[in-house]
Amino acid sequence: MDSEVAVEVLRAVKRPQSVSELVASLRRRNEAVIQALSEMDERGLVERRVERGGGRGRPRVVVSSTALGEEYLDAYNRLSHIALKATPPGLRRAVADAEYASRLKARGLDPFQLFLELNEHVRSAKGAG
Amino acid sequence: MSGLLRALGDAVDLLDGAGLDYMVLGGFALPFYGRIRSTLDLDVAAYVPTEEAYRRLLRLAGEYGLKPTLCSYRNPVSIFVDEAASLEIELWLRPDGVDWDKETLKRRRRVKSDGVSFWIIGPEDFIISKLARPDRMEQDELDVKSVLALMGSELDAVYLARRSRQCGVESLLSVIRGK
Repeated sequence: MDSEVAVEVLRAVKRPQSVSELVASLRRRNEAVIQALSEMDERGLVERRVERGGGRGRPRVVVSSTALGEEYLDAYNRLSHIALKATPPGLRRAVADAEYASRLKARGLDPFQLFLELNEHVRSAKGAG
Repeated sequence: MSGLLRALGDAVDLLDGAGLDYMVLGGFALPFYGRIRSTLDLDVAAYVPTEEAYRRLLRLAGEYGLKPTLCSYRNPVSIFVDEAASLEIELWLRPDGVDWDKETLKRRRRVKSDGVSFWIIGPEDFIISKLARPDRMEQDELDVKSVLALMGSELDAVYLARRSRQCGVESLLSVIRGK
């Protein structure tokens, strides 16, 4: 079981929702979500309940978290906050980037306009790729 | 005007038109406080008090060139597509790491770029929102470090300390500060 997917699912189903709603909100492939739900169901992290509407359509499967699922999510959140994720070189780089932004501002450039330009370039590059 | 700014302007006009308090979060707020980095995520937190107000927002969206997709009042985030810019806007009703209260709104800042004015999250709440999000990544910590480096003594230290305690990120903030 991919713990990151499991955590995404558990966060989403804090409020019970149908499989199709879940697929839409997670923005993952249908098959990937259904596979994850099966594994999580087997491990007792979620439960799936079939809701039959009055009509003739396919019954709705509603997914919700179990008490074990909530504990899993709490533990993940607690532990993931203990250690730094950034490394010292990354943090030094962030300070250097901030100082650069400050120098640009001092030269009369607008950091937000530069940000917009940078992102337009990224968008174009992604569009071309 | 860039497509990104147009999309942001449309979202802001919609929220103003609906009479809702909002603030821009994440990478779009970062250049006002810290480093400049790329992001295509346009995140806006809006205080939508009732489901009726939310339904009204959805009804108004088309008038501002925004198409609601994946929208439900029950979900913490709704997605709108700006049809002119073909960009997605994430509208957070319950943003990760941000406790909505009067103080958060009072501390947001009004900024202006290329004729578009909008509210952004205050720098202290920006820091807390980055550290308290349950899916915090390395990039979030680097963003915080850059804001600490650039804003320095301009930050309200007392408020930041109180908020970081409330949100359980006091130790984390202290470690990042010291590195």
